[in-house]
Amino acid sequence: MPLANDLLEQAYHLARREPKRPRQASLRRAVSTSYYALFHLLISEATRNWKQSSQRAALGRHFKHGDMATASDKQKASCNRFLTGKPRPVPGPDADCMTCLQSVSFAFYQAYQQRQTADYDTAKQWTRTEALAIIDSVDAAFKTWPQIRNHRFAQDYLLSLLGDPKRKQ
Amino acid sequence: MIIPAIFANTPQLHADVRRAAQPLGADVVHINFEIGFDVMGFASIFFNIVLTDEASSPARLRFVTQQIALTLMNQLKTDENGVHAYFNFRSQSEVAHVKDPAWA
Repeated sequence: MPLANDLLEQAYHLARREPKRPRQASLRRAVSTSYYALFHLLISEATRNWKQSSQRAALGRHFKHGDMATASDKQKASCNRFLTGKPRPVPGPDADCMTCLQSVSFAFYQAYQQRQTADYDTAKQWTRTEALAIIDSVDAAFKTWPQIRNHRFAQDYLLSLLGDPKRKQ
Repeated sequence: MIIPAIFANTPQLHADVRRAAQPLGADVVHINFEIGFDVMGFASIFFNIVLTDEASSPARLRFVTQQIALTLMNQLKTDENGVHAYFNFRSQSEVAHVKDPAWA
């Protein structure tokens, strides 16, 4: 995932520029870029499942921001129900996966909202801490994902990012 | 438009947020919030959380912010109450410098 990783690195670079007085443009682009880093990470992970590697980029174009945010919101709620429900889940791979998925899906839907604000709400003033907190949550998702990428829950999440087929008809 | 019950009683919500913030300890200077709708049109609570400068340091920021977000969402049961929660964090120094009423 060189593109996704490069975008994440670029987000940190932008957020850490201008050590004394960060420019709003740098912080806004940092927040927006961190969202796109996670967006491209998840799409590349989903399209990895497509056997014809030459078609993966084209397949990736079918993913939509809003559908991915909705799916992430549902995934986060599902993780929360799983992890906090009664009886508590048995410790093991499923519970571990849900904990990690909660972190990934939470980071995505937070970053989606923040990216909209960063790109379009010029009234908002950003600070470096605000930007770094968002990028850190995306970075945590990047570090978490390899632990769960082959688990069936994670694979179900990737498929859900394509959106609800009933809504598309 | 359906307004979640949690938004119907704002004084109660303020009290709930204060109570939810208690276990967060000394890292949090104060918490403000606004209610509204997010970009997807869902009823949402937008937290503006002021951290101490020490808690905002690069070495601690990730851990501190994750703990705070999880604690507030779990204590306030945001998912169960049908609201999205969003979190913004600033350091105490930044708040003093920027002078934004939403963070005061």
